[in-house]
Amino acid sequence: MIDVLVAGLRANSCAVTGPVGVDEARAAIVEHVAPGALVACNDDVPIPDLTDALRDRGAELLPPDDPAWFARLPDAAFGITGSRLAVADPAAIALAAAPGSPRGTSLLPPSHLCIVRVDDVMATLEDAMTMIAARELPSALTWIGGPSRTGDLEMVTTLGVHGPRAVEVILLDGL
Amino acid sequence: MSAHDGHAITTPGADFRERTASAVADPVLQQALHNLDRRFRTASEAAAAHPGRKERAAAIRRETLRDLDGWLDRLEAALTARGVHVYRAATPAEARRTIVDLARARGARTVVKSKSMATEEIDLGNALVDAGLTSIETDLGEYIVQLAGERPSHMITPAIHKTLAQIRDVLAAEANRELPVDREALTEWAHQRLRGEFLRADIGVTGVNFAAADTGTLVLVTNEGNGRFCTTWPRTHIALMPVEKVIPRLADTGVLLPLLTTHATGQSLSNYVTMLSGPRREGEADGPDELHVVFLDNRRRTLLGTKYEEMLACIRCGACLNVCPVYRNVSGHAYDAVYSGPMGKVLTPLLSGGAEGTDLPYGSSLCHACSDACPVRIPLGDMILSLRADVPAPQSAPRRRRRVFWTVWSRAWATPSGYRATTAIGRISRGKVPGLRAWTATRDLPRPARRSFRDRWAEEHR
Amino acid sequence: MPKVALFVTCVADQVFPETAAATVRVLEAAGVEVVFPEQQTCCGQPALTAGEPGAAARLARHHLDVFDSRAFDAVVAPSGSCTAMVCHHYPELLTDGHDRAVSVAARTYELTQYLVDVLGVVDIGARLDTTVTVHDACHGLRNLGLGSQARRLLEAAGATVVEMSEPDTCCGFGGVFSFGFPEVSTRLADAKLGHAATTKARYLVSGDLACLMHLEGRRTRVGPPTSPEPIHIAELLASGLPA
Repeated sequence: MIDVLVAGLRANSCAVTGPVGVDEARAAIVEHVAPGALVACNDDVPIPDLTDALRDRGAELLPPDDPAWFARLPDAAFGITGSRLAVADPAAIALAAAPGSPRGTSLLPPSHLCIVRVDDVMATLEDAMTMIAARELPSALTWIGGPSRTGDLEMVTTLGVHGPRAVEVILLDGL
Repeated sequence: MSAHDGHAITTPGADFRERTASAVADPVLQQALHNLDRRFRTASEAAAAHPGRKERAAAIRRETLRDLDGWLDRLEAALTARGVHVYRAATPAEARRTIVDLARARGARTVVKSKSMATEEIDLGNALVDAGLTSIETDLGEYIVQLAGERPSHMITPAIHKTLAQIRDVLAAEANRELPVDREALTEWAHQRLRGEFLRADIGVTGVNFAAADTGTLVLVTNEGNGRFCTTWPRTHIALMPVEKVIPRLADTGVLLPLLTTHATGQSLSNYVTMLSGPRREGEADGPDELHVVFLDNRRRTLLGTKYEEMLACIRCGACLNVCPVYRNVSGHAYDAVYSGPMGKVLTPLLSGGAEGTDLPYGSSLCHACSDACPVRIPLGDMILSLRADVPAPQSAPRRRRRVFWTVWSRAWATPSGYRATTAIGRISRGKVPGLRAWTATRDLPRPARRSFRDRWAEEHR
Repeated sequence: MPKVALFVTCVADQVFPETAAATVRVLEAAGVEVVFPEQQTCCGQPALTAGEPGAAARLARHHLDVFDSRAFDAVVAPSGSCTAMVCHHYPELLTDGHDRAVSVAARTYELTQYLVDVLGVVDIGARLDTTVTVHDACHGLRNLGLGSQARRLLEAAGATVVEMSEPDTCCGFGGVFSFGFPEVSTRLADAKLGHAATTKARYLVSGDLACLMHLEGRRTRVGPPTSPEPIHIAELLASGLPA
């Protein structure tokens, strides 16, 4: 099932790493981020000490509780989020809005890094929606397949229209 | 009989025919339409796959229609419980007024719109402009046609009728500078321009793909991210929801969403699906402060209990457009209506109460490719045929003339002697009947045989 | 020996009697006795497609008067669209007389459907040494589920069947559509003829005379004469029968 998810995300033009452990994941994220970049990182990212590691890398952090978050997010180069769950077929990741995990982090920055726990992967959208609908819903549950795209230009897919142009998914090992 | 190529006995008006003739003769349009062949194939493949899923989806949609008012009441209650403001608009005018009043009351200046055929249906863009607001279409295809001053020509791919060079011309005129005929460059320019609009907009207006009555959740399907932007950054989100978009349960989206996207674009799921359950909550850094939903009726509920009720099952996938031999050769503008293709042939005369599009149902070869392609099993071909008997109004002059002709014909042909007499006339005149120029202009017509089959048989079996 | 009534169709009767004669030969070669109820006229399809169901119903009632009979086992027509008119439309068209319509519809078949699905016959003894491509006429395909039957009959006769691109896309006839919207109708004929020509087959075979009349009418107007010749499947099979 994880293989199906990985293949599907790659077919959607995502870069996919893992499944890996927490330390490897942290290293992969830090490696990905350019020094000096403004990084918006949501609180629901299940990787301890990530923000410290990013600072060590030379990134400037924009946390969700920063009063200037709304004003500065458009300048962020990277958005890092966790996820509520993922589905293998069709390949898609669900992000839940909450205090500390705003919607814009996976939308405005041109590069989105998304952490998905292997334990949160379900087989089909039907399974996922049945489960989701039975529980308390967030104000926004957003399914993401990959980078923003359009087919409006003579039906040829072009990436990076309004949302991120690059999506990197890091799969975290099961516990 | 009319000298106008037999229209008196075939088609009530010539306008749709003239527009299709222009479209067929337009080489640039024809070149652009070749790009739709890929969607023809994916729609055909989707039609053949997952028959079980289509049956389930058809059942869900019909369950909804059997008690549409009940499901709308439940949806309203669930939305209201989440702090969403709900309005009911019987007509396009009411819907426009509701939305414009909401915008004015908030002192809004700029509206960003995500693609919504319903907003086209009520002509919201012009109403906002008339009210002194700036309204920007943010779906790239819609943005292009907005700049070009045109209607969308396809519900999923609004600018399908334009070549890349034509798109470049439209965008370059807006940019007031040179732009290359290059997808990446044009997309990047649009991205930058529209990013600015998103960030300063006061109001986001969207449609709704599905609205779940059990949880009060709005579901929006996009690929570009503009739908997400419109519902995340502006302080107010207004969603215009045609009444048939309600579904009983959020869990139903597990079946309906992949069906919609596979039939629309061949994607197993659209790049983004946004499920909104109320406005921003306490402590959240983004999301609208207010969420308003306008239920739009516009004569839809008059279809309930009629032979056209199932048209309300439509999930707006566009598959019927993609497989229609007429649509594929003329594109959406020839229909001169908000909704084009086979579903537009049905909806336009019905939603306008017979005021518009009465010649649309005649521009069909009744091949039923649409009925086959429909993921929720709407008998589109049968409805198109049925509408020929229902529109234009039976008491109108063209209909009376037509009825007289076919009544006379059927009385003659309901008896063997009448049939023999009239076909003998046909033979004697060597097939020269007025009104056949429409055929003979481009095709040869065979002459009636010297001896009919029945005469041969009678002689051979005497 | 099964006995069928030939539902000749007005187009075959008046314009293409050789197709009707070929239909009889093909059925007889398959071991069927054919009778021809002489009172038949037309199924009423032109009136229905023009939007006049009342006029169509008048002809439908006459059709049922002729074909609602135990004198034969089945009704066979060399036309998918006329068969579909009876099977798909008659029951709805006649609110009184519904039961009679359903009963006649249940015994009415298109030619290839009757041979292959009812009789279980694929080889009628015809021998064809030629290449063909098949146009799947819309009503036969979508209302009656036709498709494989014609191909099996042709292959059993030894013909080589080469598939064209989009064999099931409409040829553009559509009844009154071909007069009301001649530009699109002609464009569709050109597309179909173009796809057929690419196969380099000798014949373009179909089970519907209306499609064939439309395609042949365009082909003789614009050519080329070497392109596949539109022909009804009954005529092609009959040409391969022993004299």
